[in-house]
Amino acid sequence: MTQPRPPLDPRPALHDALQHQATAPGWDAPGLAEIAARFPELLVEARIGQGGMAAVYRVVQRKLDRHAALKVLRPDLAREPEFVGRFLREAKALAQLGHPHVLGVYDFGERDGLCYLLVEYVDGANLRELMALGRLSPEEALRLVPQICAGLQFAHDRGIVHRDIKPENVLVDRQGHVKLADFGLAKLAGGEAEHLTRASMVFGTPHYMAPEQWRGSGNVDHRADIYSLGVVLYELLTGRLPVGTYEPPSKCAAVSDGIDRVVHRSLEQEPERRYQQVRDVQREVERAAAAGGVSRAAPAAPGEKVVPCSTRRGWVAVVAAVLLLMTVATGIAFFLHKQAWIAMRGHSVRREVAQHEAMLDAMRAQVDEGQAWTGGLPAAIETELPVAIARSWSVLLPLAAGVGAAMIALVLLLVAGRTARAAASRPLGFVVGVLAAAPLVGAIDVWMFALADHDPGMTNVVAGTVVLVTNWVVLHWLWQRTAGWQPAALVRTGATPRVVAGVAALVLLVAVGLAVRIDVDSGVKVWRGPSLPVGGAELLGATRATVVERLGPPVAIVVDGERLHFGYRALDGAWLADALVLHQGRVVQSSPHASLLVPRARGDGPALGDSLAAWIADRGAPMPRGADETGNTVWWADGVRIRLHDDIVVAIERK
Amino acid sequence: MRAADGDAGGRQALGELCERYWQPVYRLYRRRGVDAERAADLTQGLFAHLLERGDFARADPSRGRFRAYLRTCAEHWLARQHEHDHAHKRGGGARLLSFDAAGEETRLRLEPSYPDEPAAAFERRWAEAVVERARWRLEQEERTARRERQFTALAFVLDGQPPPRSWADLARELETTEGALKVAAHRLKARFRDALCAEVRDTLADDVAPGDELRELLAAFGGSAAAESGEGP
Repeated sequence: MTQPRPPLDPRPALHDALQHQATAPGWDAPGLAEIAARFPELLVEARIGQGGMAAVYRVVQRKLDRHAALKVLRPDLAREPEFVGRFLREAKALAQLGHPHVLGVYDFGERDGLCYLLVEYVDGANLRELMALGRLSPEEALRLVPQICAGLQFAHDRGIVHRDIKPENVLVDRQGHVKLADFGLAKLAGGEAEHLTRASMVFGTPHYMAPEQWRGSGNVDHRADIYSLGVVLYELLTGRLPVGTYEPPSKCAAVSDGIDRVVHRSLEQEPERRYQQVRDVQREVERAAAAGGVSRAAPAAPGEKVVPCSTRRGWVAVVAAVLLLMTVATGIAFFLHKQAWIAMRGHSVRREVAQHEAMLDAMRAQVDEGQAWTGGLPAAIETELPVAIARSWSVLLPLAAGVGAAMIALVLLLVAGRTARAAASRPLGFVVGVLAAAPLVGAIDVWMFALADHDPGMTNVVAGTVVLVTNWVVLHWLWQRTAGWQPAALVRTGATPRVVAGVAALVLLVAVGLAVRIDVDSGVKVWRGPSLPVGGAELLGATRATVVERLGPPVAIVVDGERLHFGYRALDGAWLADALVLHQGRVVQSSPHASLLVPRARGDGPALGDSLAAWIADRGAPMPRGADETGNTVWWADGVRIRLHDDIVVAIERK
Repeated sequence: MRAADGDAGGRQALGELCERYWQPVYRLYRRRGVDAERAADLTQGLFAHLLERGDFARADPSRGRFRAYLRTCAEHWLARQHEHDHAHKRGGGARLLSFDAAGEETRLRLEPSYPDEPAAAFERRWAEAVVERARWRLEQEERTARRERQFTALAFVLDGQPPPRSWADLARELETTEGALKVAAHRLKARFRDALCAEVRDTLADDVAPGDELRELLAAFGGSAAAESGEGP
C-alpha cells in the first residue's frame, strides 16, 4: 500500500474518535434490529443521534428509495394514557408544516407503544456542531438567522410554537440552508412545563428557555421562541451564552450595534417587552446585516444615513428624551455659566476695583483738607459683575462645580445601572441615565463657552465645534451604556446610537449656547452713573457761563492740568458724578456717568465755577490775594479762602 | 474480527490485515537494530509464516487484539530467526507483500529518535497506520464523489487543526457559503471518525470495545505529548 500523505500526528484523530465512543446518557434506545423488526418498510442504516426524549435513526424508505430520519420517542412517555392521542393530534399538525426552513414530516404514528415521526433526512450538521469548528463569521451568522426566523414565523402563523429552540435543533444542509427540527416536540413530550423543564435540565439546555418557561407559569406562547432565538443569535455571534449582565455582541464581534438592540430586546424578561413577532426580529437582523459591521462601516456608509423609524411612538420617545436632557442640561448650564463667568471676570474686576478705591481714598483725603484734586481721573468701572460678588467668589467654586457635576453624573449612572438591572424598572434606569448626562454635558459646555468669552483667541465657532464633538462623545457613550435599559418604544425606532447622539448633541449645543448668551446679556451692569439731564453733546463747545446757566453751579471741580472737570449730580454722597471737561473756557468733552469728582459744595462765598470777577463785582470789595503751591490764585475774604484756576473758582474753604 | 474465523475467508482477511499493518512490524525490527534489507526480509517472512500456518484463531488472541497478537508473533519470529538465522530460506525469496520499504526508511529518518522501547515504536507506528488508512479510505471516497478539491482544502479538520485562513475566506475560494463549508467539514470529520472506528474494529474481536483499543493506541504516545507533537516532516 502506498502512503498517500506524509505522516501526521495521529493523536487528534484518535482522541476525537475516542470522545465519540461515549454513548448518550439517559435511556436505552431500541437497537437497530428492534427498529428494523418494527419497521419492515424501512431499511435501518444507523442510529445517528440520541437525546433526552428521542433517538434518531437514519433509514431508507424502501418503496421510495430515499433517505429519511426516524425519530422514536422515549417509550415511557407513551405510558401516560392520553399521551398517544395527544401525540397523534400534534404530529398531524406538524405534518402540515411545509416550509423550506422547517424539517418536513413524512409520516408519524404509534407502533406497539412506540411513538415515531419519520422526517426529512438532512445530510448536514446542526449549529452546535458548526460552532464546534470555530465561531461563525458574523456575516454567516446573520445569513443563517433570518432563515431560522422565516421557519419559525411560518409555524407561529399556524399556531405552532417550537418551545425548544437551541443550536442542536437548527440543522444546516450541505448547501448552507437552515432546517428547523423538532418543532413542538417539547410540548408533545412534555405536556406540562414541569416535565419539560426536568428533561431539559438533564441535558443542559435551560439557558435557551424563556423565563416564563422556567417559571412554569403556563402562559408560554410563541414569544418564548423569540427569547430562545435571541440566545441562539447571541451565542452564534459571541460563542458565549448571555448569562447575567452579558456584553453586547458588538463588543465581541464585528456587528453593528443594531444587533445589540435585537439581542437585548429578544432577551427581555417579560414577553410583552420582547419583539411580538419573529418577523420583526428577522427584519431587524436583515437591516443590521445590510448596514454591515461596525468595523467596516465608515460614518458615511450608505446604511448609516438611514434612521429607521418604525413607529410614531418611538419617535415621540426619542424627542421626549432629548427634550428632557436639554431642559436639565440647559438649567445646569445656566447656573454653572454664571459661576464660571464670575470666576473668570472676578479677578480682573477685583484689581480694577482696588485701584479705583485707592484713588478715591487719596482724593477724599485731599479734598477733606480743602485742597482741589489735581491728579488724574480714574477710569469708570463698567462690569457685568456686582462688585460684592466679584470680591467674594473664588475661582475654585466653578471648578468644584465642574468636578461635582462629573461625580453626580457617575453616581447617577451607578444608580441607573442598579435600577435598570431590576428588570421591571428599566425605563426608570434609562431616565436616570439620561439625567446623568446633563451635569456632564452642562459643565463641559459652559466651560467651553466661558473660555470662548474670556479668551479672544477662541472664537465661538471653535468653542461650538468643541462643544458639539464633546457632547456627541459623551452622549454616544451614554447611549451605548444604557442600551439594555432603553424603553421598548425607543428601541423600536431602530435609530443608531451615532445618529441619536448626534441629534441630541446638536440640539444641546443650540440650547446651551442660547442659555449662555441670555445669561451674558442679562448680566448685572453696575456702576453705571446716571446721565446728564441734558445731553452732553448739546453742551459741547458751550461756554462756562452757559453751562452754569443750564445746569447750575457744579458740585465739584477737578483741576487737571489745563482742563477743568465740572462735576454734577453726585451720587448718594459717593464720589461719583457726570462730568463736563472745560478747556479754555469751553466744554470740550462730555463724560456721562464716567467721571469721578469731589462733591464739596460750600456755601457763603462765590459758587464753584463762577468767575471771581463777577463775584467781586457783586460784593464790591476787593480782597487780599496770594498763591498756593500749585500756582493757583488764592483769595481771602470773610474768613473764606477761595482758590481760583484761570479766574474760575475751584475750591471754597471756610476757615 | 473476520480474521479470527480461521477458514479461507478468514485467511484472506488476515492477508489484508497484514498488508495494512506491515509498517509497525518493519519499524519494530529496525528499532531492534536489524538493517533495512534484513528487516524487509523478516517482515515478508513473518507474514508468509502466519498465512501459511493460519493459526491466528488458535493462537493466543492477546485478548482479542490483532495488534497485540502481531507484535507477539513478530517478536517471536525475530528471536527464532536469530537462533536459526535462516531468514533468507524461510521468507527471503517469497514476496507475498509488495511494500514500500524505501519510503518507510525515509520516514524513519525523518522521525525524531525516541529513546524508548522498540515495542512502543511498534505501537506508535500502528496508531499512525490506523489513522492513515482511515484517511486514505476517506480520500478515495471523496475522490469518487468528485470532491477532491474540497477534501484537500478541509484536510486540516482531520488533523484537529484550526483553518489556515478564516472559514469565510475558504468558503469564498471554494465558491460556497461558510455554513455549507462548515457542514462539509463536520460531515468529513464525522465520517473520518466512523472510518477510524471501523478500521480499529477490523483488528478486534467482537467482544473488545473499540474505545479500549483507541485508549491503548493513545497511551502508546505516553504523557510527553507536547514533546512529540512536532512529529512529522
